[in-house]
This record gives sequence, C-alpha cells and structure tokens, in this order.
Amino acid sequence: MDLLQPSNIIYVNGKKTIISNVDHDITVLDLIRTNLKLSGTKEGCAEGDCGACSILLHDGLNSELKPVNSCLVRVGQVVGKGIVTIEGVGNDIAPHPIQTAFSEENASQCGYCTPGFIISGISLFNSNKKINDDTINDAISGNLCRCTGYSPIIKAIKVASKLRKPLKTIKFLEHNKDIKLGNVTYYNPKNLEEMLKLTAHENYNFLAGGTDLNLRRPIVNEKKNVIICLDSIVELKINKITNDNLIIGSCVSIEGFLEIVKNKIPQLVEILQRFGSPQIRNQGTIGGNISTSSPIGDLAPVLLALNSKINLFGHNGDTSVLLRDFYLGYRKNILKKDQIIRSIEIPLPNGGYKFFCWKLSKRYDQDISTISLSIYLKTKNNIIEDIHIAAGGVAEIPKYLESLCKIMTGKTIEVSILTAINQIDKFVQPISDLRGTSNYRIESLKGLFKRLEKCLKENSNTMSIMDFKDE
Amino acid sequence: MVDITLNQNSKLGSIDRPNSYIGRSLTRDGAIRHLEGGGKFVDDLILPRMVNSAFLRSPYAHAEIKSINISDAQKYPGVIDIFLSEHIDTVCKPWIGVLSHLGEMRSPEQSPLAKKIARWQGEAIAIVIANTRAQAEDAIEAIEVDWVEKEPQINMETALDKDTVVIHKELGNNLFWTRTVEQGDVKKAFKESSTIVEATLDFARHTGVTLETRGIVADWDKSEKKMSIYHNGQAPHMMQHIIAKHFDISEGLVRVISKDVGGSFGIKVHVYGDEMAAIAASKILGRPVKFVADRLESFTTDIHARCHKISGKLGVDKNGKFLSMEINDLSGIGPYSMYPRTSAIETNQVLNLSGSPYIIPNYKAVGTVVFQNKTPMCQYRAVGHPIAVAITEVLVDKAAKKIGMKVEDIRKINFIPDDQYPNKTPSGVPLEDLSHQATMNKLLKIMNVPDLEKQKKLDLEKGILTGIGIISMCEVTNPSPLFYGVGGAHISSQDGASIRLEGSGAVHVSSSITEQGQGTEAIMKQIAADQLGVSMDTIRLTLGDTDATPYGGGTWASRGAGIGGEAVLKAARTLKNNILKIASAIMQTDIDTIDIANNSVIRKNGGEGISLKKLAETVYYRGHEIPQGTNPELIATSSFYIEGIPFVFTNSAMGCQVTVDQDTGLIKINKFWVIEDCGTQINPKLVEEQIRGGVIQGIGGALYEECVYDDQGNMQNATMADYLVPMACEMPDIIVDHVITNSGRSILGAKGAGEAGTGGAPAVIMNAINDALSSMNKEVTSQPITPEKILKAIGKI
Repeated sequence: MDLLQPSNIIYVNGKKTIISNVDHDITVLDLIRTNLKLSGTKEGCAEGDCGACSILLHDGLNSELKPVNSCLVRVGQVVGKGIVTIEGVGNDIAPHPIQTAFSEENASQCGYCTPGFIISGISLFNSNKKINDDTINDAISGNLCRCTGYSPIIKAIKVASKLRKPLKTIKFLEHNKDIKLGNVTYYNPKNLEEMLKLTAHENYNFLAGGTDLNLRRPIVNEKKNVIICLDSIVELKINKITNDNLIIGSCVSIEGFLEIVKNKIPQLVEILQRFGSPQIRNQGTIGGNISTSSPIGDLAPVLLALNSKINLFGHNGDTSVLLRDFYLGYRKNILKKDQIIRSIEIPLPNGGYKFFCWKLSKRYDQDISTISLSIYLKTKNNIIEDIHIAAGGVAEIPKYLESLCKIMTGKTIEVSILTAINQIDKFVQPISDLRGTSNYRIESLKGLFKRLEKCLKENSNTMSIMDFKDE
Repeated sequence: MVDITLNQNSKLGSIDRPNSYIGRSLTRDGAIRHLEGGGKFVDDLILPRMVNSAFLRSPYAHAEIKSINISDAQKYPGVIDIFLSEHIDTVCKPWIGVLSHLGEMRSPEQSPLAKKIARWQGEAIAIVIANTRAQAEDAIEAIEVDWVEKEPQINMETALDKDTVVIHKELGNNLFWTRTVEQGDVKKAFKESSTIVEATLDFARHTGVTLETRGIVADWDKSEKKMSIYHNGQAPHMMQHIIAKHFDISEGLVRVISKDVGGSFGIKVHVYGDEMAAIAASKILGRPVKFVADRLESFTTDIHARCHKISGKLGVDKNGKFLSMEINDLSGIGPYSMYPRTSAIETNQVLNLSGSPYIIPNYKAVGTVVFQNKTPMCQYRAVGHPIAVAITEVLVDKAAKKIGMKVEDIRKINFIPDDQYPNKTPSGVPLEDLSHQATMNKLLKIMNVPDLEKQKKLDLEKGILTGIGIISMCEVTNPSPLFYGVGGAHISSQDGASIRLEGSGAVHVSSSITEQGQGTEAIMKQIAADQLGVSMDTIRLTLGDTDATPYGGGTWASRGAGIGGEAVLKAARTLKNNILKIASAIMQTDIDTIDIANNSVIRKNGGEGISLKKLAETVYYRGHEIPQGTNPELIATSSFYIEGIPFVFTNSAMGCQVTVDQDTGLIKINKFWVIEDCGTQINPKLVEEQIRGGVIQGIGGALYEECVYDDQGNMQNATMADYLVPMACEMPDIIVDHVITNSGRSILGAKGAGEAGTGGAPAVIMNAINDALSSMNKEVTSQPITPEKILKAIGKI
C-alpha cells in the first residue's frame, strides 16, 4: 500500500529510501533498527536522556546536519528529509577522521554509546561553530558514557577537529506534504492559512518539535488520526530584530533561538546551553516549550522577567497576551484547541539594565532545574529603580513575582535584597520533590539573591551558576 | 608505536626485544567495529523464528496475587503465549542465594517468576511472548490481576524490630545474614586510647546504569536438545553451568555466547528471574525468545548496590597511633539474596576491608544484612569498598584533626610499611605486595599540598569554602577459590587460555575472560604476541563463547588481566616451547640456541631461521619431513588460579580538591589525583581509562546517584531524567600516576585495576567536602552529597 505513496521517502545516509509498512506510532529509532536493519544506532533510554540513539537530520537544502535523538522523533516527522546514521559516517576502509581519532584515543570502551558520540562530534564539524573546549563540551552534553569518564572522548574530538572534515550531504527537494502512515495522516501545512483549513478535521493534534509529545505512547489515540506538523509553516519560523524588540516565530528551535540571541542577550547563553542537550534543542521549539507550561521549563522565567508577549493564532485570528497571563495552572494555559502560539515578542534588555539568569540543578547539563531565577533590573546610585523577577520551580506555574518586585523597588541594593531574602517565602510556594525540598528551594533562592548582591556590588554583568570559585 | 611508559617486571624478558608488547599503550584494534556502528549487542541479533517477550511486573512493593487472568491477553494480536510461574517452573528448578563458608545465610527459594506474593516493585509475574515487543507490551495491559496490597517492609533500620512486617514468614524475621569479625581486645584498647573519634555514615542505594540494558536470546533446539544462549553477561561459563543445572540439560549441550556487552560493572554477573523465564519460554516453545530490558525495567530490576548505614569508632594514642577500630554496618538487600554470589558479599567486604591500609591491632566489625521490599541488592563495581574506605578514612581524618596532626602524617605513621609484607588487614585477611607509603608520598608530591593549603586559606578569606581530601585504600582483585568456591558456589576462580599456531602462521588465542569494554581483547593479544614472539597482527582472539573457549570464571572482581592474562601467558610459553622443540628437530640444532621473534624461529647467533608459517606448514602438511618422534602439538592450553591467599590486593592513594558554595550548596570538584599500584601494567593507557572511568562512577555515587523510594516501596526516579549519572561536565581534571609493585603470585605480576576509582572516590570527596566545611565546624555524613545536604549541614535548612 505504502509503495503507492511516493511521498513516503526518506534519504537514509544519502540513499533515497521508500518507507513502507510503517505504523504511524513508531519512532525513527524503531524505523532505523527494525525496518531498515541498521543496528549501529542504539537505544539506551528511549526518552532523550542518553544520546545513544543520536542521528543527524537534514533538509536537503544545505549541508547543515542537526543532531537529534531518534527515539524522540516520529517517522512522520522525517519523511521527505534526510537522516544520517552512524553507518553513513565512514567505515574501516574509509574511516572518518573522528572514527580514527576515537580509536587512537581509546574513546570507545564498551562501544554502546560510541555511535551517538561520533554523531554529536560530526554535528559540530558540520556546524559553523568554532571548535574549542566549550563547544566540544556542549556538543556532547546530551551523550552519556558510563565507561570512559569522557576525557578520551573529548580528546578524540579535539584531535579530529584539526582536520574538521564535515560530512558530505546530498541535495534533494523536500516533498513532505501529506504523509499517511497507518490510520494517521501527518500534514505539513506551509502557512497559517493552510493550517487553519486542516483544523476542520474532527480529530487533530498539533505537533511542533515533539520532544514532549513524542514521549507519550501512543502519541495519538485511534480517533485522533490527524497530526498537523507546525514545522513547515513559514510564519512560525520568522525572527525579526528591531532596536528594542525581538520577535521570534514559535517554531524556531531552542538551538536556533540560542544562535539568534547569543549576541543580543549574551546573558542567556549559559541557561540556553544547559537547556536539555543539542539533540533536544535542535528538535524542541520555543513555542512548544512555552505551550507545555511546565513549572520548571527553563525558558519561561527568562521570558517572563523580560516581560515578553505571546502572539496567538487560531480561528479567531491573531491575539496577544503577556506571557505572565498565559499560564493558568500546572501544565495548563489559555490556548484553545484551535490556537497555537504564533510568535514571542521579547523586549531586548535596555542598556541601563542588568540581566541575570540562573538555573540551579543537581547536574550541570541535561538536568531538570530545581529552581531557576531570572532578574532584570536597573540601579542608580545604589538604589534599585526598576526590577523584574521571575522564577521556575517555585509554584505550579513559572511565576512572575510582581509583588516581590514591588517591595524591592526604590530601596538600596542591600536593603532591597535583604527584604527579598527575609520575605521570599511570602511570594513563592515551592513543593518538595525529587529535585529538592521546599525548604531547599527557598534557601537556594535566597542564596541566588545573595549572588545578585555580589554581582551588583562587583558591577559584573554576568555570573555562571558554577562560578562560586574564583578562577 | 607508543612509548614504553613502564619498566616491566624482569620475569617477562627485556623491553627492548622484538615483539615486546606488554607495557605498551597500544591502540585497541577491536574498537573500530564500534566506531562504525558494527558492534554486535544482544538486541542487534535477529534469529529465524525468533519471538519477543515482555513481562508483567508487580506495581507494588509487597502484594499478594489473588488471581491472574490471562485469557483476554492471549487473544491480543501477535501474542504467542503467556506463561506464569506454574508454567515456567515445569522446566526450571528454583535456586537459593546462599554460601556456606561465612556463617548462616537465610534466603528462601526463588523461581523465575513470583508465585503468590510479589516482593518488590518490578518483580516479574508473567512473561508474554509475542511477535514483537510492542505487541507483548500491549497484551500485558490486558492481563487481569487481583492484587491484595500488603504492608511493605522498606526501612532497613527497623527491619528487625518486633512489630515489623516479616517478608518471609518461614524465616521468622527479616534477617538474612550477620557476621562478626574480632581481632585482639577492642574494649581494652579503647580504654587505653587517649582519643576516640566516632562517625556514622549513610550510603544510598544506587545502581550500575549500563548503557546497554540486560538482554538475552535463548534458543532451544529440540532436535539436538541444545540450548544456545546469547547473553550480555560477564561470566558465560557460570551461566552455562547454572542453565544446565536448573533446566536439567547436559552442560555440554548448553552454549552461552557473550559478544559485545554494553557495560557491565557487576550488574550482568547475576542470575535474574526474567532472563531465566525467557530461557524457560524458549524451552517450552522450541523457538528463540528474546528479552531486552527497557530502561524502566533496568532501574527496577538490575541489582542495586550500597544501601548501608555504618557506624565506626577509632581509638588512637597520644602520638596518633591507631589502637582500636570498631565498625557496625547495616545493609538492606531487597527481598532475596541474589544467586549465585549472594547479597552478603558487599557487607563482607566492608568487614574485611575497613582499616586495611593500617596497622590496627584491635579490630571488631559487625555486619547485619536485612531483607526489604525493594529491588534486590548485590555486587556492583567496587563491592563494599566505598563504604569501607569512607568509614576508615573519615575516622582517620577526624582523629588527625582532633589530636592536631596533619591528615597525611597520621596516615604515614599508621600505614603497614611497604617493606613489611606479607601482612594482614586489621580483620585478619592476608595482604602482600602493597605500597601505601610509596603511593601516598607520590600523591602528596604531585598534589603539592602546601600550595593547596595556601590556596584554601586565601579562598576562605574571601568567603570561599575550598577543601582538600586524601585517602589510602586497598582494592580486592584476582580472587582465589577461597572467595566463592569454598562456600559451595559454582563460580570459577580459574581461567583458561588456549593458543595455537595455524597453517598460515596465524596465531589463535581463546580465553575464558570476556570483554565489556575494558580492553580484554587488546591485553590478551599483547600478552600472547609478547610471550610468543610474534607481531600483534598475527593474533586472532575468541572470547565469550562456551563452545569455543576454555572453561573459566569470566570478567568480574578485577580479575581479567591478573588471572586470565596469566593463563594466556602460560599457554603462550608452552606453545613457544613446543614450537622450539619442533624447530630444533627441523633445524637440527639445540633448543637453547634458538628463539622466536618477529614471527620466525631465529638462531640466537644469527644464521638462517624458519618462519612460523613455514614451520606450521611443515607440521600440518608435510609431517614426513620432521624427524620421527617429534611432538607435533602446535596448540597449548593453560589454566591459572590464585593459590594460598583469598585475594591479590592492590592499593591506591587519592586526593581531591573541592569548592562548596554556601549559598546554593553546589559542589565543584576542581581536581582529582590518583596514584595506583596495580603491579604490571599490560597496557598503561587502558589502566588509566579504568581508573578514570572508575573515578567518574565513584563521583556518581558520592554526589549524584540514588535510587529514591517512597515509604510504600515505589522507586521514584526510575528514568535517566531523574536518576542522575555524571556527564562530561561533571568530569574533573583527573591526574593518574603509578607505583608498581608486582604481584608475586604470578609470572605476569599483574593485579586488577578496574574498581579502585569507584571504591575510593566517594571517600576522598567526602573528606575534601568536610575539610571545606571544617572552618564552620560542620560535616556531611550521607551520600550522595547533594547541594541540599550541604545547606542542611551548614544549618541553612
């Protein structure tokens, strides 16, 4: 049956491959291992935490290869695209320099994580990033190795980066319009108008990156047989920078967002680099992250502190709300069934302001935050003139702490921060869970306010969360 | 070729001869397969007629199964059959996880699947066989179980209280095993001590998190009555023996194949009910059955480790000499003792190893091991070491600080001196060939402690809490038959190797040691080529197949190099001797005048030799050219086990520098140093990888890893998002250096190197953190040491 559908084509390691007899619900990892019989890509956790299933994704237009966790991508999302698995990197007769380096540096012990690390390394070579310790660490921050202790892996990537041989990609034209897999159709509308028409279907789900939705099994129940992928909608991919505003389409990936803001708002770099992993950031979108409305989403406090606005789109056209009015409760928001987030408007930090964003988690990378705190403020003559604070992990929603901001305004830095520390428990009601008790969350928030005081006194503009030791 | 980093032991011959490979950091040629995605892991295997499986597992920690109805589930698409305990038990005999040489152990019979009562969350109840794993999982949802929840026994500290739920009624209480070790007169010695320090430490449960989960394909061939098992285990011959025994199959008709194994760390050396059920299903169905655990199953059914509460007391005289040490350790092991190693060994190691680097004339250790309704606990990398080393080294630091001595000085005056071996641990276990003094001296030198102290002082003035920790430790490696065998367990402490010259001049080696990434393949090839006198590329190696390798214990307890390597060495020397005898007959020369080098028999004084290729061709194809009566054996097999002592100990000294943030409790390990003495290093680079990888796992246990349970026995963090293992950013700069004291128990002189990092890191990190907190007179006593525990310790929470 599927053979009759020419649209179900995936370019696998440069080879045009027709996908047939595939259930709509399987992941790309399942497809690679079970259907395509390429066993080099491994399953370690099936939820995007270990990186053993990493593959490279490309759209046929340029040489960019984005690493993703194939366990978090549905087959419907890659039809019409290209994927590169470890088998497409090189072999013993013609190894890629990174493979040679991994061998020479003993960067592979049991070998199970190895394909994923090589994929992550290659993605760095194919990017336009500089290669240094930071970018190497970042590139492998979504890959887990239990044997080596990482240092030989880092060394191997460094050695291979001297040649920096990118992987060649083939050019092809996208044709991922309507993809039928089993009873489910994946639609890829090209614009909002097309998208709106598709909502005439009785049962549909929107799908952006899918890093959250694709963890569900099954992703759609039998009745919901339409998935509207938002990935190809041009209006959702925009990014406009004005003098004081940044308008970002909701389907810009977190990694894309990082690239856009890293020069404009450098204070965001650390928190965005600690957002999941490169694999997650390449797939997950800003709109998706906001829509999930998790109380501990890493992005929300940052956007809240900058007083960002959310532009929504649906049957009733365009509407806008402040992000702080978007959340209704634990994983609940004001979005109606037919509505999506169209874009996010982020006011750029004003020159006279300072901006601090801290994420506190047990592990540095790829960990869910215990709390996070974003503070946007202006001081003059040691007085806090204006302050905007938002925090994650302190309530059932990411919270803009309006009342706290009020009591901190107009006071000297010392008094203001002391007031915040003494009264913080009036403004936040964190719960106790695996990541920390309510008490710890409150005390560490106080600790971060102390850090704020230190930063203001030393007139520093930024401070890494791990920067409690003078370097 | 990489530089020689070590001067080898003289028993191995000079290092500048041709084909001298022992001691060189050669590249592992076996790794290239993995780099192109060519590893052969269990889940990559697809056999004709193979079916998949999934398990219905207990959602409760303790519950009675009133009834199970599988009739709806059996009708699900793709389902082939569903088996309960009553079905599986028809082909598989139960087992009991006890040993006989360590006093009474009490653990009930276990079957692959739970019968009437489920005793931990995750215990397998039913196995569903279907065409695909997804189909099997769907069918599980349709199995109806009438559960009656029972009160669970969770807390190990109240396990033996009168009103506590008893998990196995027939045992009367929740005690699995207890042991007391006593040397000298502890009471009297404490009375004579001028200073006594005490500590109580907690160690959370954690687990191995092998990146490849447990997996098995069992293939019962009815026509040959042969069971073939593809298993990602560490000990194929042990599994062969156990499968033969419990499935009533002749041992010769059980073949266990363990090819690539994606990490093991001790997790994959035990008998698991679900794997036995998959074997049983294959035997019943006569088809290959695959079971590969998913990550949730891995977290809730792979053995856990640690879970100790230990109190200790150390008495010293006014000069800082240790007089007396007493420890009391409590451990919770889940509802059963694991088979066949038992779940007593971690505690036993704590009793054996505490205080082991030092002379402590009076020593008492009490261990108590109790049952809980949690995942079974058993041996994982560095069994017992983190607990033994931490209690010892924490007490030593406390004693030093209390009497105003430097922490390094108190160690130095109490070490068993390097020149006083053989000796004994305070618990009475024989020790030999150790070097605590030399390793500590080297450690202190490379750490530059005075500089670190200066820096700490400067930091403190700025309100930054920096701390320095040091430790010394012994590591159990290369166990002898006195470890398990003496207690009745069929766990081989012997390993075998076979080596043969083939017709083309190639050399084939097989060994009972297995590879899980340590580099077994590389070192076995190095030893064989080195000792035989051939180039590395002539060696082909077979591991992990009971039909094709000599019998032996496999890879665990850091024994591969020391025991398996010695067997290869002996076999290579025997083959060399055989070859030289044949060559001397062919070449009509005295055997003393010839040798083997660069794949040829050479005349020591020059002159024409004969290539091994030519020699092999002559023996195999033209035997008539050889003088009659010459022994034509171009194959040799050897075996080796450690004699006379229970273990070959190694030792190491470690140091680390940490910074602790008072505001958030975050901890940063700035630098880590290890001086290891593992005797002969066959491949120094691989040794270093073992040390570094071990340290990272130790950091995991010290700072991040914990299996969190609620009070109903539900594991709360059975995902990789919630159970945190160290990632690249958690890796500090680790400096590794060595002292070399060869083991006198073998020609090779190698000891083990696989577990020291994991065993020592938790203690040295704890000492460093407590040093950082010492200016506030505070301490942490519970691992993992989380940011929250730091804030608690300094009184902020």
